[in-house]
Amino acid sequence: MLQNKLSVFVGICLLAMMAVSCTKYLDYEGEDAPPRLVVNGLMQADSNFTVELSNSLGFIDIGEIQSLENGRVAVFDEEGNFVDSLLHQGDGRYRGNAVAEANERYTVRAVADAFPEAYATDMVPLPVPIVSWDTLFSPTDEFGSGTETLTLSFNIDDPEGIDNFYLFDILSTQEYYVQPFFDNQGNIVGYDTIYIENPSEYSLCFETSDQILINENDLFVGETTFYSCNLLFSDRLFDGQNQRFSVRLDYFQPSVSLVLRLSSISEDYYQYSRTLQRYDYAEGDPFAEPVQVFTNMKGNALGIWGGSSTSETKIDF
Amino acid sequence: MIRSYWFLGICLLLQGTLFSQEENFTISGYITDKATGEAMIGATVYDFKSGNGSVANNYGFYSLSLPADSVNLRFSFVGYTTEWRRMDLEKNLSLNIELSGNTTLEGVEITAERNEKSLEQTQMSSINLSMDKVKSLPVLLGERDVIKTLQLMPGVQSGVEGASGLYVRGGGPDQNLILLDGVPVYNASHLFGFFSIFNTDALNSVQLIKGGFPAEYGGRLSSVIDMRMKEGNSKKISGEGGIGLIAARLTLEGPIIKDKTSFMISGRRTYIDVLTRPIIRSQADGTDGGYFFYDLNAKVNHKFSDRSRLFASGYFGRDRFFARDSYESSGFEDDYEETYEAGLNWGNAIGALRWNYVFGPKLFSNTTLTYSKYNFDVSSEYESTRTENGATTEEEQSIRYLSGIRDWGAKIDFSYFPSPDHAVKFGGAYIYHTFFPGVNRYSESGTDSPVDTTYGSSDIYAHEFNGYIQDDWRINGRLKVNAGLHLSAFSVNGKQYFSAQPRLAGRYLLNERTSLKLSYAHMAQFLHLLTNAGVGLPTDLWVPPTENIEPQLAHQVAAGVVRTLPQGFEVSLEGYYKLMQNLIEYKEGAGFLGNANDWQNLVEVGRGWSYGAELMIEKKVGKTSGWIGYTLSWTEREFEELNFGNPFPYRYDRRHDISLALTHTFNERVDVGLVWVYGTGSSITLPIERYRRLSGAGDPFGGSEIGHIDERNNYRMPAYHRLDLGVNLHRKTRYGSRTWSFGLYNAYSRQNPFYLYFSNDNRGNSRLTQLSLFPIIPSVTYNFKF
Repeated sequence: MLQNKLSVFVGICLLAMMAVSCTKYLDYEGEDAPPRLVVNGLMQADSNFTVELSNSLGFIDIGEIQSLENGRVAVFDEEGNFVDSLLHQGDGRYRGNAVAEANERYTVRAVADAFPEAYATDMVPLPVPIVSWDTLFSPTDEFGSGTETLTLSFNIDDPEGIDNFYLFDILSTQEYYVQPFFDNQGNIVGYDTIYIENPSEYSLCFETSDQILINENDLFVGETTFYSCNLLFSDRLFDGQNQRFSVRLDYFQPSVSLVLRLSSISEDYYQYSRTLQRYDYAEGDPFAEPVQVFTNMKGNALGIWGGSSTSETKIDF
Repeated sequence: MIRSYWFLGICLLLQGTLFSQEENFTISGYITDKATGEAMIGATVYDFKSGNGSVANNYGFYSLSLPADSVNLRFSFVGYTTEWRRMDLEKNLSLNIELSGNTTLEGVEITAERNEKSLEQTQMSSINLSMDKVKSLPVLLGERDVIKTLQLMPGVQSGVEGASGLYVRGGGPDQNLILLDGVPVYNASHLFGFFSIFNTDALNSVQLIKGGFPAEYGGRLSSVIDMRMKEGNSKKISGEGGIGLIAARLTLEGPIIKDKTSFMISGRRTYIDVLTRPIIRSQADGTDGGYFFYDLNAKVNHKFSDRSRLFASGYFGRDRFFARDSYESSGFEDDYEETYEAGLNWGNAIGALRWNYVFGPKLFSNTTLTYSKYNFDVSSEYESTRTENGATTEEEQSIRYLSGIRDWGAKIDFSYFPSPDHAVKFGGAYIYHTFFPGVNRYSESGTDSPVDTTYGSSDIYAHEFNGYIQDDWRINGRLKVNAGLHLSAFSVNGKQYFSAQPRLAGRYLLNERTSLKLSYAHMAQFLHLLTNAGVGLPTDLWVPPTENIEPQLAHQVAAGVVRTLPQGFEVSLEGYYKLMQNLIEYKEGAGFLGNANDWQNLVEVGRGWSYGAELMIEKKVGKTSGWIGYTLSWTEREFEELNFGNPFPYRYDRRHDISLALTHTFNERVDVGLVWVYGTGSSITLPIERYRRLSGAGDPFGGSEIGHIDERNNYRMPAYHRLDLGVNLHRKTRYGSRTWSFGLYNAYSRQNPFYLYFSNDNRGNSRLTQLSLFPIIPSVTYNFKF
């Protein structure tokens, strides 16, 4: 609250300065920076290779970023052997027939329009499964809303001696809902369970007080809780250990099933995701330090070529 | 390693003692201003017979040991009439000298011999600022400012436009040891740094040291700014003051007991609030607000004898911003009234109790107790009163946030002059730091759930010790060396840090007009400043080193040449290289406001370096005087977690920096001043391109765009340049003299960059937009002296 007041003060002072100041436009290379090839692809273990091609624009160029549909994209293994050629599926998305294998390194090479060839190499790490999990329900609040807080704990066995990086999120599927019946006075007289014909999966946001997880999201260090829809963390604080984590879901309705999704991700993809998370956190704040989003694409190109192996654990309630 | 440093120190001391066994006699005493009794800090005494000389210290004390012989002494100070003394030296002699200031007005032609001091002294990278010069140069809104004048020196840069922050040889604003009567000042800025807290009327001398630091100084990496307040006129009551566009000031000084006890008191206050409040009040009922700052300097000194003297000095200054809003309504059965009040105030309080004691002609001591406090306080209060059917309910809510730093300290310094060729200084100090990283107070009453709570970071207590020894040793007629060792230790939260800092400076006289200089200094700083490094906000927070974030360290080497030329010109050229370690910067994405908790997790630790050359051509005497300064420099930072580990230019990396400061005296009634500055634009970080991000894969914002930054601090703001003009019209009056000062700040109204942002033009195109603060600004100030 106080930080807000400080911000207001600083804002007022800056506005006061602006009131007595004058402005002018400056020439800026962000207006006419030459476009570059942008290649984004995430290799998922046991899934087909996919890549998106587009072009960059000057930061203040009012033009629209274009998907590139006439590109050529190929994937090679660590020895430089051809693995797959990706075909355009529409809207700049390319897909191959071969699947990425865990513990393998792949190089993507892409050309489109007159851009020079873009390339990057990364690894698909081995999956790290959730070895056990536990749930605990407690009433969420004093207002008797009927909802509960679900505390979810899970354990992983972190492989020893190598740097591991993780992305954790929770997917939910609401398969049914409970509908109450009311009498003329508005009192509940009964319930009916209604099943949803085509339940869809969506991401659930959650809270954690786990200091290892908070420490990894270092802009929030010092906070007692951290609210997010996904958690990025490395094993620097628990390398080679069986580590237990805990997250909370407030106002949880047991009518849904949950999927705990733990992705073992490559270091490059971790760097990209981490810097992107900071970028989103700082965007629009004139007092925040600028953030450089990580890119591993070479050949005067931008984008990310990352790897991920996901293990899923389904919990039915 | 440490043992060898101690050995070196003991050798230096013993060496001095051995030399003292020679058959010499010592002439010692004080050099003072004849008109005011004020100490002449930096006045020189020189014996033409032996070629030996000495310089008066911060209290005007000098000591010169000479062989038993006839002596021919010259006592001089720029702007004062030189005094000569011839005598046969047959015993130790106490000789107090009073120098007469030039009888003409400030800045008018002054005569002096060629300036031996710059040639002779081992100290390099040092500037003694003439207070007359500070007063005669044109400045923003006519408010004389020593910090603004220091910014005109080569190697010293200002931050953003108008700010009074100092960036010395690639260092940060926290790396300057600003001493007021020997007491550290933690926040030297008023109003976002547009003005410094130092009232020039209260100052006697200002010295800036950028490198080659003598061992007596420590605790900061980049500079020492040693300011001494006036002691007070010991001859007669006198005063000076002025009324300007935004502030008025008044200084009174005089004897309490003539030639024994004197006082000086000086105050300054802005009246921006007085001028703006009627406008604010007229905007809406119940609305009020304003801003002002004030300073108060005071000093009393008493001379018990020629050997013993006591000084008590203090500074107190605050900035205050306030806003008030109230609302009232009256109905048939109920009345309602609410008031909202917000305030921000911050400031320094500084005190020093000092005792000078002369043990003998060769040993001078200075014992000081110091106090320094900087605090920042923001508050917000809300009150409401509702009267309904005769029943009154009251509700109150109050929020406060406080932070700051407080030091208590004690130090003792000795100056020992064992022989003509040695001037030894040694001493030690202890400082007890208390850091207040941030406390929140929240109270609520009259509601269903009243609250009264205080929470925040615990105060941090730290102990800092230092000791030093240095010898200014004249090896032969051409070679002189200042060798010393500064030892310091810091203890905080059970963690101890120790630092041994060797210092070495030497000069070699090529001929009577040219000397070569060389220096090395290792510095340690046990404080970090959490700052946005742009605007001098009061929220900047001093914090101690921790287990993870170690003290800042620097190594600096410098080499230079000084040459005096005919007609009072002096040219100096210096090159330097400075390496800094354990610097901190905010992490990517971190903001700066109110980040007191676990601040160390929000910063990155890295290193930096700066190198360059500084040229200064100065003319100190004559009707036209001033200087031209040019700096060519490179400054970079390197942090493992910033810019992907690659070095990047420091925000105030400034390739070229030129300053021209001139005054010309037409006659006793008119003098003019001119300042022109040019600096390469500051570097800032801006996105150059935008591109799509990887969609899906747990990214809730998948598909939207990323602003690509190829390198940190990748954009150079437009160059900064500005011309200031001023004219001073003096006249003698019945009571003394008066001066009308007219000034034009930014005379050709250059739009200099203050802040850059993206905005849309009238065709909807996004444009990079520059905000400039100060167009041409005229000023007028009425100054008087009596």
